[in-house]
Amino acid sequence: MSRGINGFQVERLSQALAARRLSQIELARMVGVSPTTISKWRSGQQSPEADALERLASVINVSPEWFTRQKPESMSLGLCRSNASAHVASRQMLEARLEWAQDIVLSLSEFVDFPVVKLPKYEFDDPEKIGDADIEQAANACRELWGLGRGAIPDLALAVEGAGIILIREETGVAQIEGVSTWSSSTVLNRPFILLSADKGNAFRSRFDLAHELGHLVLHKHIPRATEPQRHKLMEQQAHRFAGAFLLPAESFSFEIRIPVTLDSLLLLKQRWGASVAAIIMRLHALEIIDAEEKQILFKRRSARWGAKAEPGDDGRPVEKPRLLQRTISLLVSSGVMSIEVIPRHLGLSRGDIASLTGLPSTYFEGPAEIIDLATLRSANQPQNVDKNLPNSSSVIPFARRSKSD
Amino acid sequence: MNHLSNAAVAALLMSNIPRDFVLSVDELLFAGAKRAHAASAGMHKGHRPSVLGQMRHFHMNEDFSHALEAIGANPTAIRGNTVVTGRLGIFTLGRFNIKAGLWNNGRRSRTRREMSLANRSVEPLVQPGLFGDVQPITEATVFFVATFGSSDAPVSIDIAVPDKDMKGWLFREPLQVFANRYYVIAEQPDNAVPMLKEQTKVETSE
Repeated sequence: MSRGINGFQVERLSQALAARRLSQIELARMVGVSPTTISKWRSGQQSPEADALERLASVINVSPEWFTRQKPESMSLGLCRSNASAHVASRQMLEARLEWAQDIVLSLSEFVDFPVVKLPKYEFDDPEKIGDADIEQAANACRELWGLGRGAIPDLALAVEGAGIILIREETGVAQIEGVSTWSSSTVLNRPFILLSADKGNAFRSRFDLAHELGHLVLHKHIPRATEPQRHKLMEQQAHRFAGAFLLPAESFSFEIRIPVTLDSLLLLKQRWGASVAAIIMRLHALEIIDAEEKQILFKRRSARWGAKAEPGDDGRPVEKPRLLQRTISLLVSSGVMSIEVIPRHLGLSRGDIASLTGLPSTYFEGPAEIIDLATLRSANQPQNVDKNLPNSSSVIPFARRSKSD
Repeated sequence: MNHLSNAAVAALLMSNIPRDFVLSVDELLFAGAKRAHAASAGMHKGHRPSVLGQMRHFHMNEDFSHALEAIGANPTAIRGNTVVTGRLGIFTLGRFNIKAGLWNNGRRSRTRREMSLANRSVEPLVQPGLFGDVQPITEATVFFVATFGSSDAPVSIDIAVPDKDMKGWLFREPLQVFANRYYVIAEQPDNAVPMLKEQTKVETSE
């Protein structure tokens, strides 16, 4: 590097651009430098001067010193719970957000031990080799390992975090991607991460998304990112099957189904099992309780009665929220390891980003609210000038009726 | 009947009756009801309801007997109108059919009333006495009750433990719900807990 501050980490700049979904040109305009300068910073030909770094940090909303922190190994997104239109910038943004979460976990793990990672181990290296029976078995093995029995899972997010998985749930602004999952490298944390989109705010869908990502982590750990559409589709179907098997186990769930299946009976099961009617219909088909024609009829009736997106009772269950990272920060504060004000400085990220990634309330770092005495009108403090002789009760005085001749 | 007493009776049932038997009874009683309906279909409508009721008793008695035999519960012989019973653990097992609504008709059978007397020892689980020691439960009775509405299949098949007089129910639950009790965990464990490292504890205490 020819000039500028020492130790500027070019990878941090690329990561920040992705996290904020900014182009080089947009960033250059906001920082007040030329796009070429940003390009030189990114390529490492040049480092920003101290004042430019201040402006850059202010625009990105991180501490200037954060740009000098070495970036751990990248977290490549293996798979997305998404449709095909999810574009590159969105994926890169989610990747960067996950890496920020990884940074937070890495920093906090200096002081705390997180729950031990407990996932059933499989060595599948090709999705073609994974059969339906393998998926059902993997879902059951996961339940057994986590001590969940075969009944409805009251809080899936709690179970996932209890198994050492880092869960992030935040608004991403990317409607096409409902969730992503990946593993932090063995040289960094060797721990799985799941990021769920909070944009839709539907507890039932969110649970299914979480179970789907869990499926990827369990089944596809050793399978590289799928590039061919067919292979990607197969892996998505496998994660779907896992989610259904995990949330609605064959032995216990299928016994509650009465034939013929009706939408109203499924609405009751929806609340009990925490899975949408659509997910239940898919599961019934996977278990061969209903055939393809019956499945189609149920989906047709569902669309005709409720439309394609919403279902009755969608607000019947609160959205499950992550707890582990917010508990960790609360623990550090309550045990006197760090004060609230020090945490953002220690992590180098903005208060808003930390709150969003850890699930803390957005005002957590603002500290307790100051109590201000409101000014009162002088007249309010003085006794009203009321005639004490007036009676307390009032009487109704009838008006004289108007005659038609008036 | 509160949640805890409900759970206590359910636990007693689950410790004596395997889940597989519960599923088997559900399946067989359902099938028996269907067969009975088919068998009575050609009868004159003037006495069809009576025929259907009797056919249900015979077919479902046979199927209940098969379920008891399959699990090794020593069913009593099928004979006329008598109730087939079996034994699993401390429980004597019986069955009857009833119309959907209030279950008043269950007391009509003298045999069922006599069987229910054994549940004297189960009652303290639901309503503990003020005095006296709780006696260990060595004998109890449970019924599988199929309730019928207007359709050919049972509206519900319940597992039900009557009080000693068969005037109330110490426990009553549809088999569909009861079967899942075998898998339900009492409370989901909360393991999403970070722990301070030992070194951190030492440094903060200094």
